[in-house]
Amino acid sequence: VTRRADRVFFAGLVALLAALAVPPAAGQGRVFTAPYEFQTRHGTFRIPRAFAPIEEWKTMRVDPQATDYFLARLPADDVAARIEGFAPELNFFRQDVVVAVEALSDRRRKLVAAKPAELCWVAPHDTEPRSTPYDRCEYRLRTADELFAVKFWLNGDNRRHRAAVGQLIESLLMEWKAASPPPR
Amino acid sequence: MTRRAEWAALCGSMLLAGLAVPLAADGNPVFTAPYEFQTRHGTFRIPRAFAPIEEWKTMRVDPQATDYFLARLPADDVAARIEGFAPELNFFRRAAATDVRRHARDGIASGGGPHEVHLVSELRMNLVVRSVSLCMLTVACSADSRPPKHELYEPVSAAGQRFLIPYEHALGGTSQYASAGSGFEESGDDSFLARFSAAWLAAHVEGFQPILNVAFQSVTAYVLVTPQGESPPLLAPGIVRDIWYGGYGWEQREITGEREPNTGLYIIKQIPSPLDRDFWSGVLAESLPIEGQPYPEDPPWAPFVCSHRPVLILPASQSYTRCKVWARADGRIAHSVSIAGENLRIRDAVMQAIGEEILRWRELAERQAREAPSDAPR
Repeated sequence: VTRRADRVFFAGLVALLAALAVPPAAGQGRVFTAPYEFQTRHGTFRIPRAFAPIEEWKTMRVDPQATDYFLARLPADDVAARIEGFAPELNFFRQDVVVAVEALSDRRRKLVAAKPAELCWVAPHDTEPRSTPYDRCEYRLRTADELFAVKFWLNGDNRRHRAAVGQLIESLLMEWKAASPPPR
Repeated sequence: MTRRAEWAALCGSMLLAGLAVPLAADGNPVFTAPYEFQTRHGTFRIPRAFAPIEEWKTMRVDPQATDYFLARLPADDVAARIEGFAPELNFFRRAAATDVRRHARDGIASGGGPHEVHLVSELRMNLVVRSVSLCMLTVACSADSRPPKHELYEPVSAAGQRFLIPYEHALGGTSQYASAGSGFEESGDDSFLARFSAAWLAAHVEGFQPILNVAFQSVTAYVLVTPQGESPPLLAPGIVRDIWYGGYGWEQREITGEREPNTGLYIIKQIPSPLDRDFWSGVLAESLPIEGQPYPEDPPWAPFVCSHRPVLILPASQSYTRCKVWARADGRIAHSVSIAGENLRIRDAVMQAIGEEILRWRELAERQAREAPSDAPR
């Protein structure tokens, strides 16, 4: 029993050291599931992998990043499940909602306040040949505490859900924001 | 991960390996944390009380990625929750318990004696104590009084001009420059590289889409500073207008007659890709120069060097156009980035935002030079 215990202990120790010393090659090895972390000037956000901005981030190692700018992506099916009438696919294109967040400095807060809250254009998706031109919009909002500026994008009829999507994003940001002081 | 974080992870893990695994009276480690199954529909953390076999109640069970797992509800627990449920029927439970105990006894018999248990435990404690000491020493030594990273700047000089690059945009050292995907440029005495994340560009440029074609649309900017009295060139270094009159020959041009949908520019194929006939590298231009005539100068004929292909490391991506775009920030500074897909529509706005940011870095350095060091950005 003792030998087994020691074997477990030392094997675990060696494996741990080896794992820490040798990062797995890209496309191989470990699957990371812990939330990824952005350390902004106004606090840290820990974002579940389900909201990874690109697919690869769902399982790859993402070191905590000290930045005032970060992205998340709300999967179209998730948004459709939470907001009645939201179409997860339109014009042959998955309607994932991309969210860009900026932790505002004093200088940027003044600049962002002067920006338009909405910008729209008509276009298809250039990577989806079947898509046809339709209305596409970019929206800005600021969190109630005025510390963060948020941008998100909606297309076609989903633009009707701008307010609901905005509220969803704000509530998710509150969930993701860890109760921790700004990083040093 | 930072060096400090890596040390903390290493130390913490070593500490956990030793301390978080208590020893039972017989010298076996006892694990009590719930064991974990990661399924396609979420993760289950199951308390040890519901271990499917008796050994799992105390042994190490690594998290398992599986869509199938077992648990066992102890008969007494079920009986306590469900009135009338019999915890023992037909001697069944007692027989199973007996069997498990016999295995446990066999395990003990095959191990070492009490003296060996004592020695090894001592060694483990020794290791743990050393790890803790090392950790404390390392953390104490690595603790610093640096400002938050958001207030850190990397000073850069190019052609006699100074810039303070915010941490957000610094590449972190020359070793990373090669992997920054910056194309043909390298930083030099008169140039430097800076990173603009997709999120930063989305925040600063109206209409910029941070994710296109399943990939981040971050860019690495090549910034060229010309000597006093000289203007930056009209084209990025390495790009020449003499694309037909030089190496390839006018007769080898292939004008498709198509326009790139995001820019409206003519597609002029030059170099078909050996990988796929639908991929190409070439140039886009608003018009074609006339053979044998000087290139137009007002406005100057300036082709965009572009490629049309997927993001090769991302299997889900589609072919889209990526172009090297060059712009002047002011009379001495020019910058170049690669812009892709639909963001090419707003390339001028992207270049303007990046140019203004670069000029701000120069202002920061000038302010630092003017003000007392204690008030200046660090």
